[in-house]
Amino acid sequence: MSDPLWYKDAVFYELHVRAFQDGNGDGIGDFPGLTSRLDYLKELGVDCLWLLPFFPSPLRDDGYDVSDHRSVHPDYGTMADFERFLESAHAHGIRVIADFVMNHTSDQHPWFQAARRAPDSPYRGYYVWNDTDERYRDARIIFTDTEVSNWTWDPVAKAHYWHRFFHHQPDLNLDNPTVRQEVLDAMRFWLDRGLDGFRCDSVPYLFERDGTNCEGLPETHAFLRDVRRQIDDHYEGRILLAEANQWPTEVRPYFGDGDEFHMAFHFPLMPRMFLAIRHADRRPITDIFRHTPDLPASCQWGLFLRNHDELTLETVSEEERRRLYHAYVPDPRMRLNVGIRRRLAPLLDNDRRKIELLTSLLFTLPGSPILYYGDEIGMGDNIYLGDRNGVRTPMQWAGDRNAGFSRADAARLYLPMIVDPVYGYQSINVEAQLRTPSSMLNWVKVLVAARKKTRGFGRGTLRFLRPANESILAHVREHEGQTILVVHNLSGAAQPAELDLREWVNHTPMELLGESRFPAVRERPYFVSLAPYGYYWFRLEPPAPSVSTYGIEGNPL
Amino acid sequence: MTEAPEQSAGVDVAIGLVTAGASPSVASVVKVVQEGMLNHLGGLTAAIIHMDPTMPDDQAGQVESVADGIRLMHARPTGSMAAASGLDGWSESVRTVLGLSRTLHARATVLLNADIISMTPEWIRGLAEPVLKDGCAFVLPIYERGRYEGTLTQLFVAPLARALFGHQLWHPMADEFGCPAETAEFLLAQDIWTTDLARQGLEFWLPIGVAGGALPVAQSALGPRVLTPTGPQPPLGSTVGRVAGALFSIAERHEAGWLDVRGSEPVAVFGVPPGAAKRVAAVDPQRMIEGFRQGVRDLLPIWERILSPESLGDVLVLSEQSTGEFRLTDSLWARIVYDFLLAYRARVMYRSHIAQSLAPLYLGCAASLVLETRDRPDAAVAHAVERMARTFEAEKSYLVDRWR
Repeated sequence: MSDPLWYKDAVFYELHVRAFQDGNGDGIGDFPGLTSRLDYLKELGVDCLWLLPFFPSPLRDDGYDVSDHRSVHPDYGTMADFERFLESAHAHGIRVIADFVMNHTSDQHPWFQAARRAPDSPYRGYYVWNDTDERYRDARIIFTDTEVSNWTWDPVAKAHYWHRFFHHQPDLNLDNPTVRQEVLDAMRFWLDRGLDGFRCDSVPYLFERDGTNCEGLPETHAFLRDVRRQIDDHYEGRILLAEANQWPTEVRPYFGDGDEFHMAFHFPLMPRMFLAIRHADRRPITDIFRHTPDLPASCQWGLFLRNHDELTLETVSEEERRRLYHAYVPDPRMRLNVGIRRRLAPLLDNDRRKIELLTSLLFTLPGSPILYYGDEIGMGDNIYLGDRNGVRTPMQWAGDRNAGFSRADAARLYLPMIVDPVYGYQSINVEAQLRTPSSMLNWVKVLVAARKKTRGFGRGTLRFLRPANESILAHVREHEGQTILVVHNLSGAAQPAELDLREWVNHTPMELLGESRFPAVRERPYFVSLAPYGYYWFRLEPPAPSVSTYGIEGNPL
Repeated sequence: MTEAPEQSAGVDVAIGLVTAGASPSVASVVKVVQEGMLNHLGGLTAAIIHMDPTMPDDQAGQVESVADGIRLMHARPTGSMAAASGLDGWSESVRTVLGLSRTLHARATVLLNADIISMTPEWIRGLAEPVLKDGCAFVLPIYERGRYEGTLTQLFVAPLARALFGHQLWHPMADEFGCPAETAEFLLAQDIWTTDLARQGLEFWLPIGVAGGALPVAQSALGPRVLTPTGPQPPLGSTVGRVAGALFSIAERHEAGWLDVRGSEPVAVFGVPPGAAKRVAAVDPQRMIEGFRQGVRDLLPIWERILSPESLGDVLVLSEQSTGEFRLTDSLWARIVYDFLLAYRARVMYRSHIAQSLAPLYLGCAASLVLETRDRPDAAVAHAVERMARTFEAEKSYLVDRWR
């Protein structure tokens, strides 16, 4: 665990403690349960877990409404349970990062309760108050389905308080140095216990200034640099991952000069992968990388197909958004805010070929892949559950009662299991897939293993080839003399591709998943044919030297 | 002078010099032979039988020009493969030399490779004297080797031959040898000469064939064996395939000669076996391991049909190990070799595919030897090689149980 750039090669796995495994039979996943499933995660090849918020919370926003930054929600266990989990994860060679919400708290947080009740309380200054709802009018409303303003009147405080998200999540006033210190102290609390870093929620919105859209302000970056410096000064190998749902050029400042975040999500790529496969056209992907700036050497994109939120469409054009809604939202209930609240498999019609293709893209484009729990077995969703709960249902381990997730009565589960005929746990579960060699789970394992064998996927440069057939996405990743060629057929029909590989004449493409040797590259265009939604991962092996190479051939006998 | 064999009177020693086309060193080897006879076997008569399937005219002239005071005959192989060159031609040349030696009533026959530029007059004594004075039926050479030279012999040929037939031979290959008239007669009487085994691996069969006839074999310490460079070496896979195929064929042909053999016995050595020469081959264990891993990628479907599940599992685990951790154990290598031998016998696929597919596994074994010993003295290499041979013996029951 000594490579400081470990996150560049890592495969991340996002999960909610609540959803993964119930250890005490109360119907809610917890740390003892999660600890018991670490063998599974290690076997899958996961390098780092990203835990959704597990702190005390009224759970009106699935834990992002934190009411105590330094404790564990009692539903998920005790601090001792957490520490045992973390120790066991590390023993399994798995790092752990956790969500950290520094932008806001729950309105049930003692700070807010004290602040609203006593204008003279020192906690009053922990939040952003105003007499009217007129200030910062250029800031957009994010949760358009539920909120009409970024200000909410508090009858106790007799003032409006500022919130960029739900009205029950008042924004912290990070202009207040005491608040900044509180945030840093809370982060150090977890780092001291061995946590490997944080996925920092909603980082563009930390500060507010009149006349701006209140996103990504210079004060925000100054604070983030301070956070990074303090972590680097006191800890080794810890990372900060930014959630900034913005255009890549707007996210780029969050990396600073390699002195802010180690990683940030590449939000716009995700919907464009869905767009590309829908229209059998590589340009949505190649275009977004044309608009993706280079990163400092120590930084990395975090790539994902799906996560715990809706498939956000905030960073696509209106035209693209319409096309995506048309393609992927047959039922209006699937829409939420500016996005689509569905899991990967249902989005792709449960078509294994499409799932494999998009997962292959996830694993081969520049960045570290982040798997969302359950997607490795093709779990479904439940669009009849409110908010984003439809993609947050319990992990499906087996065909047993409650899918092996919990021994509680089904009615006690924090959310109902998926039980429909296609995605129900009787059909889709880990146990069955472990016993099926060709299962999606076993295929994901192969993909993870292949990626981890080849550092170029995490660290290599990116170059797109331009075959005439625009259904073909072919890109080259190069790192320390190693060349990887990846070819995807975005179309549902078999496609030919002629690739200009003259730069690698006499190299031999070695297919990485099957370890098959392909014909050597010659001067003429290299021809490959791809099955519908087919893909190849090649390592381009240079021609072997013609002279003795082992040193024992000269006189073997 | 040159004479036809049928006109020859008898000699004490017949010395076969085998060339295969132009050989820049043949003239100097003739001189060495002359010196050897003069200095070490004075008083004995000798004839050089120069064998070459093609016999270029200028080469015959070169040999004649230096053959002063020794009888010289030029001959071409006479068997069915007389016109062949290379290995085929070599076996026919050996057969012809033995036949001419019989015609000459030679008491001893010595066979030499005329492309050896490191030969000294002592080689003649080393190969002929144990035959003439000590009654040995077959004398094999012991060469001085640089570290990691001859690893295929040390890690495969010698341990396998020793475990099978119970003779502790340093170099169980008759590239050069000495033998008396009785052995020549015995060998000529065998039905080996027209077989594929003779064409591909006669040098491996000769000592085993002799020993199988209950004739005493001995070894003689010679010196370094350095050949005239004759172009690029054959690919390692071809060499391993040829050697493995020959040894496996011998095991199959002579199963009655080894199934009940347990352990091994030392074989007499004339002279002092040399230590490792100062030459150190520039070995690259990392490249060898890459070759091993390449084999895992390319040959797994073949190995699945050859190796036992346990051996295959161990190989797969090994392929995941880093260079620092990489060790193909002696025990695993012995079982791998025995698995290959069993698969060869069972003809689980085309036999040459079986034999050649051993090459990457051999690379893994050789890499392990290098990684284990490269920072240690020469004695560590000798120790590792001896340990390997003992492991082959210890694991032999694994083979016998499955063979029967």
